[in-house]
This record gives sequence, C-alpha cells and structure tokens, in this order.
Amino acid sequence: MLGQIQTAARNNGRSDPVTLLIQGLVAPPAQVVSNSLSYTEKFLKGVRDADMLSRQNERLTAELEGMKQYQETLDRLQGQIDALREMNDYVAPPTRKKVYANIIGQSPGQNSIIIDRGANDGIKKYQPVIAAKGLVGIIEVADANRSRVLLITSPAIKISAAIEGEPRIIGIISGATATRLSMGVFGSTDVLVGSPVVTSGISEYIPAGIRIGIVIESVDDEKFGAKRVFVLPSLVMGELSEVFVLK
Amino acid sequence: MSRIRPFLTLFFAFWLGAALQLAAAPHMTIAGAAPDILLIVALSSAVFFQPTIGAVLGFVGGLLHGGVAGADTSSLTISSTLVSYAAGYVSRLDLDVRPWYVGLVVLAGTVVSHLLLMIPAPPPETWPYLRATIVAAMYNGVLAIPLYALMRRTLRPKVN
Repeated sequence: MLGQIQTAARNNGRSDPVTLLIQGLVAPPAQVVSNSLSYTEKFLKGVRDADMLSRQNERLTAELEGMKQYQETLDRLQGQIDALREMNDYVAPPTRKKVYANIIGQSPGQNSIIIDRGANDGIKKYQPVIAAKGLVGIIEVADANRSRVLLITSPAIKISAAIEGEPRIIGIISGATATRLSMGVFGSTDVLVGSPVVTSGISEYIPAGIRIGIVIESVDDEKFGAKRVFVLPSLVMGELSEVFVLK
Repeated sequence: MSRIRPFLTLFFAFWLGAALQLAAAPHMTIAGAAPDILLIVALSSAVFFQPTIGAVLGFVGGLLHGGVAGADTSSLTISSTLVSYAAGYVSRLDLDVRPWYVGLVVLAGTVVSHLLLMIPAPPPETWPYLRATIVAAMYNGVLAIPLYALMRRTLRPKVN
C-alpha cells in the first residue's frame, strides 16, 4: 500500500506524505550532523595541509618580495628610459654634438660630480652638462677618460641666464644652496614668481634655451639698484644618473 | 518510566540513525561501500526483542531509510523487516549475547538484506555489487559492536 502511495505521488511529480514527514523530522539533526562533519573535515584538512600551506606561504612571500623588487627595478629603469628619451629629444645646435655620459661619482660638499667621459671624447673645460630636466653644470676639469662637473648649485659657478617673459630679463646666475640658485639682475623690472629661467646664450660654450629652473622669490637690492632673484633648480642633483655634454 | 525508557531509547536511536544516514553515511565510505546505519540500528535493537517486535523495528528502519533516501520504500522495508524478524530469534537463544555476536548478526543480516534487494531491482553488474555488499556487511558488523554495547545499557535490563 505504501509502495502504491509512493508510486502515485511520484507519478504526480511529488514526494509521498510519509517521505515528506520523515525528511521533515530528520532534516534538523541531519543539518547539525552535516555542519559538524563539514567543520571537522575543514579542521582536519587544515591540520593535514598545515605544513604544505606553511611552505606555500613562505614561497608566496618570497615571490611577493621578488615581485616588489622587480617592480622597483622596472620603475627605476622606466624613469631612466624617460630621462634618456627627454635627453634625446633635446636638439643640439648644428655646430655642437651630444656626448652621453654616466655619473660615476658625486661630491655634494664641493657641488661637483664625476662623469665617465673626458678629453678623449672631445670634452673640454666650460662645456655645459645637461640632463633631461635641464642644465646640470659645466665641465670644470677634463681628464683623459673622466671629467669633473661643477654643478649649478655651486656658488663658484657664474652662468648667464634669462628669465623668460615680456620683457626677457638677463642676469648672472650662481648657486646659493643645494636647492636654491641666486640671480642678480639690473633695473627695477617686475619679475613674476613662477617664470621659467633658461640659459641666455651669451656665452661661448653654453647655448640659449637650456632650462635652469623657475623663479621662486624676487628681492630689491636698493643699495646697488639691482634686483636679486631666487630660482628653484629644475634638477634634483641626487637623482641624476645619465647626462650628456654638449661639445 | 521503565516502560517508556526503551521506547525513548529506540526513538532516539532511529531518529539519530536517520540523521546520520542522511548526512554522515555518504562521508563514511570505505572501498566504495557506505554503512547502512538504519539497518545497523534495526538489527542491533532487534536482538533484544521477540521476532515480531524485531520485525516492527526492521519495518521502521526500512521506512526511515526509504524516506531519507527518497528511494523505493517497499523493497527497503520488506528486506529490513525480514532480516530484523530473523535477528529477533537471537533473544530466544539461551546464551549470553556478546557485542561481537551482534556484529556477526548484523554482518549476516546486511548480506541477506542486500541479496533480497537484488530481487526487485537487479544491479547492472552483479560482482561489483556483491563485493560492495560484503564490504558494507563487514563495515556494518564492526559499527554494530559499539552500538549494541551502548543500547544494552538501556534495553537489556528491561527485557528477557
């Protein structure tokens, strides 16, 4: 009889009442048992796999560290590529040639750097050294295969520069501190803060238009009837790695 | 209290057995064979009673098994009833029933039950089915030993 009821219910696409009753009574404890088994299985799996997971964790941590280092290297190289592209974009005057060089030494106290090109490459004293973002300095000493470069942040340097704008103001720029240049200009023309400062071209060695920095302050020097302009250099000297010399 | 205690014990045993049959048995397979927990409960409890009561316990076990599995209740009920009826004869034997005797009863009962199930629904491959039957019977027999030992504490003093 039970079989007939069951068959009839199935033919109607339903479960028979007895099955429904049994499943209704059994489902709650079965759920508890099922959950307990599931948690137990997970716990045992965790215990069983602990060693493997620990090793996997160590390996992934090492891989992550490797990836970070790789990314840092990638970023650094990308920065160098960008800098080289910018340097490459600089169009030298027809009579001048670019000699690319690597910085092989730095003397922050003396405001100078050493590059791996020298007299054998046609490098001479006073030639300008340029990086992607602007003027680095001038050659101070040219040995056979290396040269010392006096940075624009050096108080000893004197370069003819121009503040771009209307009118164009020309003066002599020299280093004041590691992050500040000082430029003396005659007259009382107003100087706008933020104006770009470039090389003036009034020089046998340094062509016009090479970026130096931007004006950050302007002070009147009434005693001499002149104006002193302070300039933020375009370059951060510590971040330089590739430069070129305009010979 | 003394009359209701065996009833409550059996009710709890079958209820928990059904829950385990539904939730735990599929996770307990050994060599492809899962234990038949409701048959173990039915046979282990049937040895405490007369054959007719054993038959009733087997019927309940088969009915519950069919219900939780959503399977054909008739064949499960009939096979379980018959083997539990036979297991009831153990109570008529004049011997001190040890747990491992019950293990053997459950082992034999499982084999017979599975053979009975072959009649209405012959398996597609006989030998694998028989092999699984033997493994399941051994499995059931082993599990019946601790179950009987537990049930004896509540059922034995009240019967015989």
